[in-house]
Amino acid sequence: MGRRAARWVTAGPSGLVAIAVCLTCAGCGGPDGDDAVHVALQLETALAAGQGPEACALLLPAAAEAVADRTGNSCDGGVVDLVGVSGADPAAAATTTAPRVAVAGRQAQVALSGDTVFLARDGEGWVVTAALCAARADRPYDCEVEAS
Amino acid sequence: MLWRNGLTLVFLLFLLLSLVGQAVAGARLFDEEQRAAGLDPVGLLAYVGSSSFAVDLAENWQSEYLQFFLFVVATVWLVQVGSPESKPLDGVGRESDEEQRVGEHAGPGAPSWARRRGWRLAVYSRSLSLVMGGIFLLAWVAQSVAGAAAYSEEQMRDLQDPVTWWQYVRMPEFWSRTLQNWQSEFLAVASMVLFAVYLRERGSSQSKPVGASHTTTGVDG
Repeated sequence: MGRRAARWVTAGPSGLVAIAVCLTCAGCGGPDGDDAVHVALQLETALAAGQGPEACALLLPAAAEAVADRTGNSCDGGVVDLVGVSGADPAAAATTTAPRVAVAGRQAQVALSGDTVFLARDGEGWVVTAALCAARADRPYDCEVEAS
Repeated sequence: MLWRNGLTLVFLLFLLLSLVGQAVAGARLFDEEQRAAGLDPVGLLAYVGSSSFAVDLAENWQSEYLQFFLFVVATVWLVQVGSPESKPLDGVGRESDEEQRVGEHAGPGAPSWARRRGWRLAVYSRSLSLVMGGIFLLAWVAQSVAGAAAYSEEQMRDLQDPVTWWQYVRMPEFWSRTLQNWQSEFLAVASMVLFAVYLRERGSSQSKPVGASHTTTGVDG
C-alpha cells in the first residue's frame, strides 16, 4: 500500500486491553485503518474508471442490492450512473494523498478529497457500506450508495 | 474452609454468572443490530472483546466502586442516628490512636503497617478508600474510552461522524450513562442507612438486633 493514512480517531480492535493502549496512544490505528483506506481507494479508482463490477464487488451485498433497486439496473451498471447524480468526485478521491481514517470496533470512515466512504468489517477484511456521500449538519451523511 | 469464606465466594459466583448472562444477552443484541445493518453476526467471543461490552461493564463497575468509596469516607464524619451503618454519635472523625489501636497501642495481631508511625500508617489508615477510589477512577476512565469507541462505532454504522475521546466526555451520552448509574447507587446507600433504622433482619450483620430500639446507633446484630 503506497499511501499512509492520517488517523484522527480510532479504537482499534476494541476491548479492555486496547482501551489501555489507546489511552496512551491517541492517534493509534494499526493495520485496520490502512486496510480500510485501501478498500476505499480501490472503490474510488473503480468508480472513476467507470468499472461497475469492480466497484460493486467491494460493496456490502445489501448496499449493492440497494443500488440495483434504486437505479432499476444491476449494481454493475447502476453504480456508475450514481456518480453523476452525486456531488462526489471519485477521480479526486482516488488520488487523495492524505486520507483521514477513523476506525472504531467494526466500523470505519475514510475521508477523501472528493468523497467520504463508510466501511464495516466483514470477516478478515472491509466492505463498503456507503459511498458517494455528502456531509449534512447534525444529520447522517447523504449517500448515493448505501444499504436501504 | 469454604464456609469461612462463603460471603466472598457466593458473591464472586453471582458475579461470574451475571457476567456470562450479560455477555450472552449483549452478544445477541449486538448481532441483531449487525443483521439489521446487513452485516454478519460477530459471535460471543468477538462481542466480549468489543467496546460495546466494555462500556457496559465499566459504567456499572465505576459506579459501584464510587458508592463504596464515598460510603467508606463519608462514614468517618457523617452519622445517622439509629442506623447500624453509622458509627455511634460520639465517634465522629478519625478517632484517637488508642481507639484505632495503632502505633504503640497496636495489639499482637495488628497488621505490621499499623504498628509503625509515618507514611506506612498514613497510607494503611486510608487504604480502603484509596483502593476503592482508585478502582473507581480507572473504571470511569475505561468507561469513557470504551464509550467513545462504542459511540463512534454506532455513529459510523448510522453514517455519521465518529467522535474523539475529548468530544465524547463532554457529550450528553457520557454523562447520561454516568449519572444514571450514580443516582441508583446513592439511592441504594440512603435506603440502606435509613431503612436499617426501623427495619430488622434477624441474624444479619447489616441489621441491629431485632429488639434494639430505633435510636440505638452503631450496633450490628
